Amino acid sequence: MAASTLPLWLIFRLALAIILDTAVHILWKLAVLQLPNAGSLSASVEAALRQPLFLLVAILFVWQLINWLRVLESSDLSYSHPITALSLIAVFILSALYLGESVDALKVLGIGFVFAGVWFISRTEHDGSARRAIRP
Amino acid sequence: MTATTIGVLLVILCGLIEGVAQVFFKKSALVLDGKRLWIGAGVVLFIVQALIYTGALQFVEVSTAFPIGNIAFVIVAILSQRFLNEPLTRTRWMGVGLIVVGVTLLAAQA
Repeated sequence: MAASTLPLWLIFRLALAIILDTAVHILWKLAVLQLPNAGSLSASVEAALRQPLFLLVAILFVWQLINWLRVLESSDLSYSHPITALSLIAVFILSALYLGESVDALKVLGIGFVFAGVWFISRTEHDGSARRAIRP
Repeated sequence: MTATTIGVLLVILCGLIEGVAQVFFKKSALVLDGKRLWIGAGVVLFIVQALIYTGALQFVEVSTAFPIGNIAFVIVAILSQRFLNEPLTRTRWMGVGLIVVGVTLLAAQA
C-alpha cells in the first residue's frame, strides 16, 4: 500500500497503535515501580491486582488489540508492522525522559538491530491469512 | 547470577512463551475442530507471560526489556516453519539474525 493513498483514518489508527503500545509499556514499568516488595509470588500478584495502574495497562492493552485488528483489516501486515515498531524508539525516548533510564550506544545499537530485524521479517512475502495474526 | 541477568532471562522466556502463543492462535485459524482449545491455550500463555514480564520489569529497564521481547519474532519464525510448514525465506532469516544480534547487544548492555 503506497503512503500517498493512505486514508486519514488509517494514518490515525497507525499513530494510535504506536501511542498505545508505548503507553502500555511505560505505564507497565511505572506500575511495577510502585509495587511493594511483597516477598512471595502470591503476595506480589495480590498487590498488583490492587494497583490501579495495572488495570489501566490491561484496558489499554485490550484497546491496542482491537485497534490493531482494525488496522489489519485494511492494510498488509508487512506494511503496518514496521511502522508500529516505531514504538521501540518511542519507549526508549520516553523511558529516558520520564523514568530516567540509561542511554548508551550499545542500547541504541541493539534497538536499531531489533527494529531492522522486525522490518526485514515484516517485508517477507505472505498470504492473506497471515493478516489475521494477533500481534498488538 | 545478578538480578539483571535474571530479568533478561525472564524477558527472553516471555518472548518464547509469546512465540508459542502466536503459533497457537495461528493454529486455531487453521483447524476445523478444537479452535477454542487453541485460543484458550494461547490466552492462558499470554496471561502467564504478562505475570512473568511484570516480574522481569522489577529487574530490568523497560527500554531494554521491550526490544528484547521481540525475540518472539524469532520463535514465531522457527516454530511456524516447523509446525505450520510456513517458508523461512532468506529475507526472514536476515530479520531473525538481526533481531538475535540486537537482543545479544541489549542483553550485554543490561
